[in-house]
Amino acid sequence: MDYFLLYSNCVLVKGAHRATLCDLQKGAVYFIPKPLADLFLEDQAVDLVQLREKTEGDMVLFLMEIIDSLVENQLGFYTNQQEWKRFPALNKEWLFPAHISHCILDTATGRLDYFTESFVEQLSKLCCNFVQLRFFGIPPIEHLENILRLITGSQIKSVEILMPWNTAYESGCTYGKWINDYKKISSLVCWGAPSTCVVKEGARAMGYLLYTSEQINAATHCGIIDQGMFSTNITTYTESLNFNSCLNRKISIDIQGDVKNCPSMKESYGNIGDTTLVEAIGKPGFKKYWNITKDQVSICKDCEFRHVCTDCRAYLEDPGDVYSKPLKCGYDPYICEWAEWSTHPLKQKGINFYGLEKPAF
Amino acid sequence: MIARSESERQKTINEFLDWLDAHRENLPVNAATWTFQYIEQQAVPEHELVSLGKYNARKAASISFYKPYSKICKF
Repeated sequence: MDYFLLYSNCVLVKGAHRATLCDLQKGAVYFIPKPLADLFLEDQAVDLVQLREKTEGDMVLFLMEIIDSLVENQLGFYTNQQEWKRFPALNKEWLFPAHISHCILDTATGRLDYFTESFVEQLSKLCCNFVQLRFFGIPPIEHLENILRLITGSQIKSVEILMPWNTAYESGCTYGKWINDYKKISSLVCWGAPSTCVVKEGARAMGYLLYTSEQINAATHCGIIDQGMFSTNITTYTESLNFNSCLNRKISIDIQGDVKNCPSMKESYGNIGDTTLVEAIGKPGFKKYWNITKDQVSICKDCEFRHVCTDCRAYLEDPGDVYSKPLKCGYDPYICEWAEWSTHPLKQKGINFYGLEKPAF
Repeated sequence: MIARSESERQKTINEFLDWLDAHRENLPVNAATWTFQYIEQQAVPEHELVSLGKYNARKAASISFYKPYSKICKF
């Protein structure tokens, strides 16, 4: 056995200072040192004979111990050169059977009056199966239940809801009732709550009721890049290799009713009052961000997390450069450290440009 | 639905292990490293099934999106 070979669901992502091995089936990320990452052939296998020849002294033992632990954690196995080629690599194509994969709808008032049967029909034509409703005002119970009934009977697979925490809804057990009655709710996040906690644990990523004490009262809160938001799965990985991991196949409607790539972005492709979603998507420029991959974005291209992370093109460190790093990411892949982005000296230009210096975030 | 007794569960596990032994030569080379879990399928009443739209797909639970819809709050 003179080769170590990764299972095809475990992928190597090289960064400037270290690399990650992402187990896309178990959803786990492991770090490996750069000297070991550099020994991988075709990002799949390590020639153990070469490792012993090219590496000096105690380093051989150190790297072999790491490889042993990777075998223990079921990331790969020992094999030989002939066997290696019998294990094909993961197909890197990203295929998604929809013109639009997800839709974000913002409202400042608590009402989404355009969310009618005909709007659901528009989503259906685009094969959009995932919807997020972001309420910055309290939705009336009957209004939200009407929306949820429309979703229940549609081809939409799941809906995530953000809304202000409300004492009357809490004491009336309204949140819990919604989670129980509407099985397509993946999570209901109540912001401005007295504490941050998981109120009801869901199952298989569906049916979560979460409270957060954060005040999420505007789209400017979006764009946070954090380890808690990593998605280690085949779909995110392959999409990230080929497309923008935030804006690809996304459509949004902001609080004014303007159809956009993302509610935080400036460009509008018409108002939902007089433009259909299909018309908006067909307008020049709507898909211009879809092909900006993490491998093209400054600094992100050197980050070992880039294919489990999502991007943000709405808030950029350098607002004049469309390939700039996301403003709200505090990770430095050159020293492998996370820092608070909002106080970082290099971020102040972007913070001032987007008007984020106010206590809105 | 009533969960199976421990002896019934063990019987099923043993049957599977015997099957693995009997078919070792037809299984992948890493079959010896396989781990498995015993999961009982729970029956879901008809009225609690989730309808996934125009293809009459009805499931016990729907599926969530594979990545964050937006990055607006962290837990």
